Amino acid sequence: MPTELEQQLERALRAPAAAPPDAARRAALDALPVPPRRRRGRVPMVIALGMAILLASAVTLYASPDARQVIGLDTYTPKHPFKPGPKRLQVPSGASGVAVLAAGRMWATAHAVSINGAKATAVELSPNALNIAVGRGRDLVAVHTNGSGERVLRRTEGRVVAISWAPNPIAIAYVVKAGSHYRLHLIEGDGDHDRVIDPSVAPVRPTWRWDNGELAYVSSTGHVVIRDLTHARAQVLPRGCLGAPSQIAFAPTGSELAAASGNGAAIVGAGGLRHCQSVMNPGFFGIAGPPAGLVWLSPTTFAVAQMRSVAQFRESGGSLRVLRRPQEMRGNPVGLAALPGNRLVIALAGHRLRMIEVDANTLHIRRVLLDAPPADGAAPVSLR
Amino acid sequence: MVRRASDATLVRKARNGSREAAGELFGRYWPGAWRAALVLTGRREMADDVAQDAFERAFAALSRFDESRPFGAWLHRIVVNRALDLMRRERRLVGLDQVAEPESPWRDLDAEDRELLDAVATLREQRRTVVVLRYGLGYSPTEIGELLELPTGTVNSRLARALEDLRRIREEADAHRA
Repeated sequence: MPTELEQQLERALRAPAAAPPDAARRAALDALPVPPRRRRGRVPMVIALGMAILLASAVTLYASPDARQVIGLDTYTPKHPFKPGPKRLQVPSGASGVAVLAAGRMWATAHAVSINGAKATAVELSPNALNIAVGRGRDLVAVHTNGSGERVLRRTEGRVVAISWAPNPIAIAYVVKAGSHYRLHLIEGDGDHDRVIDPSVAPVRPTWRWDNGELAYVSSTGHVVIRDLTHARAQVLPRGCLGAPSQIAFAPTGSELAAASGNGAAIVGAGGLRHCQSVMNPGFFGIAGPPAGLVWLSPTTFAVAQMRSVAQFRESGGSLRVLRRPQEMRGNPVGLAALPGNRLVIALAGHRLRMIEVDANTLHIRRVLLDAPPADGAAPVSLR
Repeated sequence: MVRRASDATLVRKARNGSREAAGELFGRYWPGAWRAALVLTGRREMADDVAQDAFERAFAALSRFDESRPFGAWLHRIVVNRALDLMRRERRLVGLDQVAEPESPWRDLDAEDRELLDAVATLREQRRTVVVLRYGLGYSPTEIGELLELPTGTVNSRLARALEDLRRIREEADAHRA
């Protein structure tokens, strides 16, 4: 016979639950396995024929951009087709240096140093581009941009896959692949005091708050973790509407953090993820890949690159709204960086790796900074 | 009268890609999963996360699910494991008091029940887990033992100690009020 305490426990613990968020239901249903195909005589043949006709039409349309209609996207077609650009990475005006990593090779130009096509696993410029931090397999290396050589800061336990140099600039956060896990390390800019901050994180580039007070990263479970380095505290934020972000970046001032995943973009405030916007490029056949770049253009506006397009979001009056719908580009934007004067540097992958400087509003090309051999996959851009 | 489809039927349909059947399972089990996650983590946002994550994992692994077993128990086991994983992970990073919700997570309940759940939240993780499974989700000690892979005796002793703790906390609160 249950006691009074047990009865009260049953009553309290079985009280009505909160209604499930729509996003939770959607995400759960999306996780369902794809059912096995059924064989039904001619039906697959008819479908295949239909698909072939559709594909042929799509190829024809794709080959003639002027005739193309893109649904749900603002189509951007450059006024002038790409002309061959420089083989060496050029520094855009208003910056001290620029670096990009694509398909296991790096390009970087800053002050007296220009590296073009060297093998690397990660790259990041220090503030004012005085050093280039390079992941060279298991080595974390600092290349001095005054031309005085380089220094191995640390031989790590695995491949260095992401680097984030603090604004102050005495600390570097970096992610190392160790076995099947990724570990987040923190090391001083001169190579001293290396320590593991989190032994299980996602291979996402960490981000520093402007005043060096906080470091944000994505845990292996897909949660954004904000670590207060001054008071040695950490906050694990609920994933909320966003799922697991592939891009995070602190705002240039304040403590707002932007995050983006295949589900959309969100602002992270003190209470966790909020103000999700899911107006992202759904991609072909509705399959959206994870965003390949996120960068703040101003203290309230940020841009996200995903699936052949760039979108802009603005935080306004405590909510996030879409400032510019995804604008399609010729080439796949795989990396982003911001320049003063509302300009963007975009890495485009495709037949060639191209770095272009564009007007952030119109995406019109102002200058081609690099035209290198073919590359694919994400290409993180570092600009100082 | 419309006959309610059994869990096994819904699982079979969901496994074949029926979103309707999966949606029915989701509606059926969300409240219990969410409440269990809330009591285990003590935070509403975390409960949303844990429950969502558990459903995602359960649905993604439906093809491996043994239909002769109850779906609810399988899902609840995932919920408990995910909640405990997250709690351990968070504790490793930060003291729990530093991430406590500013407002009571049981704000919808009356004062007496709220006080009781606050007390449950202070129980040791192992004891809190069996309390949630026993009184929140209605599993018998034997079923809890199967779920957590523990001997029934261990479950019973954890339950008894948990009730003892709760009574003591209540007496202390009463004495404090008096």
